[in-house]
Parts: sequence; C-alpha cells; structure tokens
Amino acid sequence: MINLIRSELYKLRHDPLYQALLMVMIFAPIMLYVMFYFVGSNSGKPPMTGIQSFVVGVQANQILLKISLGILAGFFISKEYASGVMKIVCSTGYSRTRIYLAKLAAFMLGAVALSLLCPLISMAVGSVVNGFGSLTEITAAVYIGRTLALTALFAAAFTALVAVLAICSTEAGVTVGAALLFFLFFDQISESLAGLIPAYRTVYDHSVFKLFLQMMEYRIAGEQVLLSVLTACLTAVVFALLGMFAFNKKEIK
Amino acid sequence: MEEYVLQTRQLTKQYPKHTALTQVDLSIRKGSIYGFIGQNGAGKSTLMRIISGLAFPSSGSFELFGQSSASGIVQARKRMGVTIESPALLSHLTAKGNMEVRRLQKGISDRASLDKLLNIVGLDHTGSKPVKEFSLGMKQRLGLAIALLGDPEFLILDEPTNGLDPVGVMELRQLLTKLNRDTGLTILISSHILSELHLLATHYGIIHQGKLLEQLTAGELNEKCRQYLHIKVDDSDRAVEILMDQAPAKINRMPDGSIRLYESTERPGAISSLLAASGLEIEQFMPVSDELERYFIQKIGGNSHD
Repeated sequence: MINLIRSELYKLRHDPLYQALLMVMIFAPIMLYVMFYFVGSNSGKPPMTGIQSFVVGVQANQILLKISLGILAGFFISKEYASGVMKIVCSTGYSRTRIYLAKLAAFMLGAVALSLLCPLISMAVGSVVNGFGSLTEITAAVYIGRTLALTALFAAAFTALVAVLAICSTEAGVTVGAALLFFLFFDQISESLAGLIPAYRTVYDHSVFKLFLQMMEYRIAGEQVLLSVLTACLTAVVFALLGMFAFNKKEIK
Repeated sequence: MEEYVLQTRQLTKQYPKHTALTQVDLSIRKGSIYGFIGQNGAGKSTLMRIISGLAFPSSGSFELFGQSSASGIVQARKRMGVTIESPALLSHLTAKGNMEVRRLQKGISDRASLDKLLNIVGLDHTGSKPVKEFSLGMKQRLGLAIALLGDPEFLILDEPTNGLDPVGVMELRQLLTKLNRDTGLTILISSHILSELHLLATHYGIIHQGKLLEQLTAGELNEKCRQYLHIKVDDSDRAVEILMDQAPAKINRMPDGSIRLYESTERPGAISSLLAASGLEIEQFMPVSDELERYFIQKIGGNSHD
C-alpha cells in the first residue's frame, strides 16, 4: 500500500496541472491583496492586516478550491483511463481497493495542500504589508488554527466526493465539466430547494456544502465545530467506500 | 507433472451485445513463449485483460501460478509484466520518470535497474525528452521496459510490434528470445505479424470468434506448416553443396535459383554464418512463414479481413 501511495504522490508532484494549480493558489491571493490594496487606497481605507487578509483568503478559497478539485480530479484520475496508465496500475498485483485508497490518499494530500495555500499566503502578504493585526471576537491563533483544520477536513471530504465521479468517468473533460457544474451550482440550487422543502433544509444545513460556507465565522459554537468535523469525516468515509465499490466493479478499457 | 503458469477453465466473457470469449481452456507452460493468434476482435485482448485484472470473466475460472482464489490471483500478478493494446505511459514524464512510477509501485529498491532496462530497449539516450515527443516505436519499447521492471516471470504482450520498424521488430524478437532462454521468462504474445510469431513462439493458440480452436507446439505447427528459409546467393550450386554437407536438411532448389531450406529454420543465424564463412555472397535470406498464415486462415474457416 505504501508503495502505491509513494507512486501516486510521485505522479501528483510531477503533474504539470497540479503544479499550475499550486501556482494559481500562490498567486491568486497575492493578486487579490493587490486589488484590495488599490481599491482601499482610493477610498482612504488602510491596507488589510494579516488576519483580515486571512479571512479574505478563506472566502476566496471557497470557490478556488472547488474549481481546483474538479480540474485535478479529471486530470489526475480520469485521464489515467485514456492514457492507459490505469491498466498498468490494475495489473501490478494490488487489490482494486488498495489502488483506489492509494489514489485517494495522494489526491487528498494534494487537495489539502492546495486548500491551505490561499489563506496562508493571504495572511503572509497582509502581515508583511500592514502587520498581523488582531481580532476582537476571538484569539487570532485559535481562529486561524480552527479555520485551517476545518478547511483541510472539508477539502478531504470534497476530494472523496469528486473522486467517485472521477473514477466512474473515463473522460477527463467529462469529470471536470460535471464537477465544476456540481460545485458551482449545488449551493444555489440547494438554497432554492431548501426554501421549498423543509426536510431538504435540514439535510443541506448539515451537509459539508453548507458547513464549509459557515466555517469562517469568528464565533462558532462548540457543537457546530464538532458537527463540521463529524460531517466532513463521515462524508469522506462514505464517499471513499462508494468510490471503492465503484472501482471494484469497473472494467478497465 | 508439468508446471503451468496459466490455465483457464471454460473461461467465458459475455457483453450485453456479444460474447467475447466462449469456454476457453488455455494452458501456458512455464518457460514457453505462447503465440496467441487471432483476428481483430477474436478475443485475444479480452483474455489478456481478464488475466491482467482489467476485466472480469462472466463464467469459468483461471489459475495463475497455481493460484485460483481472488486474493491469490491478485498476489500472483506481482510476478507478471503487462503491456496491453497500447503502451500505457504518462506523456509529460520522461522515459525514466515513467519507469520510476512503476518502480515505486512495485517497491523495487534498485534504481540502477531503470538505466539497465532503458539501455536494453535502446532508450538510455532520451534524457529529459518527454514521452509525448517519442515515436510509437519508442513508446512500445518503453512499455516493454516498464513491463520488464522487477524481473517478472510471466510477460503478457498484446501486439508489442505495433509501430516498430523492421529493425525494432527483430530487436524485440532477439530480446524476448534471450530473456526466455536466460531467465526462463514465460511469454504470452499476440501479434498480427505471423511470420514474426513463427520465429519466436514455442507454443501457439489459435482463437477465432471467442473460441480457442487449437493449441499446438512449434514442432507440431512446423510439421503442419513446413516453414522454410528462403536463400538466394551468388552461387547456388555451391550453397546447396555446403548445406547438404554441413547442415543436413531438406533442400529444394527453385526455378529462379533460390533455395528453400526446410527443418533448419530454428537456427537461421547459424545457416547464414555458414554461407558467409564459405565466401558466398548472400543476396536474400529470410524465414518464410506464409504457410502459418495459410494454416491460420484455413483453421478459422477461410475468411480473413486483417
């Protein structure tokens, strides 16, 4: 198993698309900060501090991360069907379950790394320009630690979810398209449905999608944090099992 | 009792609209080179895909290295090397990068084996060139190098000569023969170039429309096919004299002055060396196996669309 994970991590590290996504996650917060800097200076506002910029980074991450995961799933997993690499992996002498888990583990690690870059770079840029700053509602260190931990957990949950789509589809383009459509419109559609169907509201409010949007709030009750952790873990486990099941049944063309 | 690397029992693969394999009973002896012959869509790749774990049989079973349980077969696959249909490569990586992926998968600690194998397949000079810039022949050779990583005991090669030039085909044959001879590597190989298979295989399986029509040894096939060496030299009288004297075999002189040498086809190198050493100028020298094609076509019922 460890050999498989090492091999998957090697592939991920050398994947030009993953390298490009890392660059986007590094430069996007810098560009965002520069944009806010000039917009703010025109209206006489001081530049954002590190902690303020961190919050902006977390907000931007909510969309950047989902887009990145959709693209990465298509090119890191589905593309292996077209290139034939999946055939080689499956004939290596490992069970399908192990192969899938190794792929998912590497994908998750890559996604977690991507998910943390934007908030951390944002915070670093803000701190360099206008100092770290402080929060009145909560200790900054607690807020940053909690937010980053939840970001990583939600990234892992989304990864498990999108990996199912990627392992079922043999076309990278289909995976990317479907994942982007899903991630970009699911929240809007769910909000509308939740307004019409109260039961759906309960489900949606307790899903990773809704909890991911709420995690940046300064004050979150302990139960809410626990719910977020449990929901993210449960989502990751359920979709990992679903992906394993689908991959075990799949014939590799 | 003979040891078999692979034995299938009534192996059947059914798709919703057609049957790809029908009750195939195939046996591959350890140390043999099994030439798998069949038209496109005959079921060759399907069988290879099932053995490699890419597809699942609808019914029947198979034994790989004596293992027939699901987990045993998965473990047994660690002793295999596979290239199926087209070489499976990551196009943005170099040849060595692709080998590294496989090395990590197999947990091979010896990094030097990558250079050794790249040297064997003639790709040691490719350096930082990504695979997407390789020719099809180069990709085929890299696919073979990847399959050979970790010293497999059983090699499955599906159309490995696709995209190779004549020299590449000959080098592949020499490499496979050497590996088989030196390490006892068992090989299951399919190819459209029947003359090449004829020079390589020790055993044959003929498959048609998903049914295994016949399995036979090279000796049995040669008896049925009468393969021969086509030789044309500057002095055919002298050549016949030398061949009769030193390489006793059945010889036919043809009206165009060429010679057909039967029963010595398994050592064409020795024959050509003998003629060259006698000072004869060799104009044409080739093993001819049209008979294999004819035999194959007759076996499948006289129709061929390849």
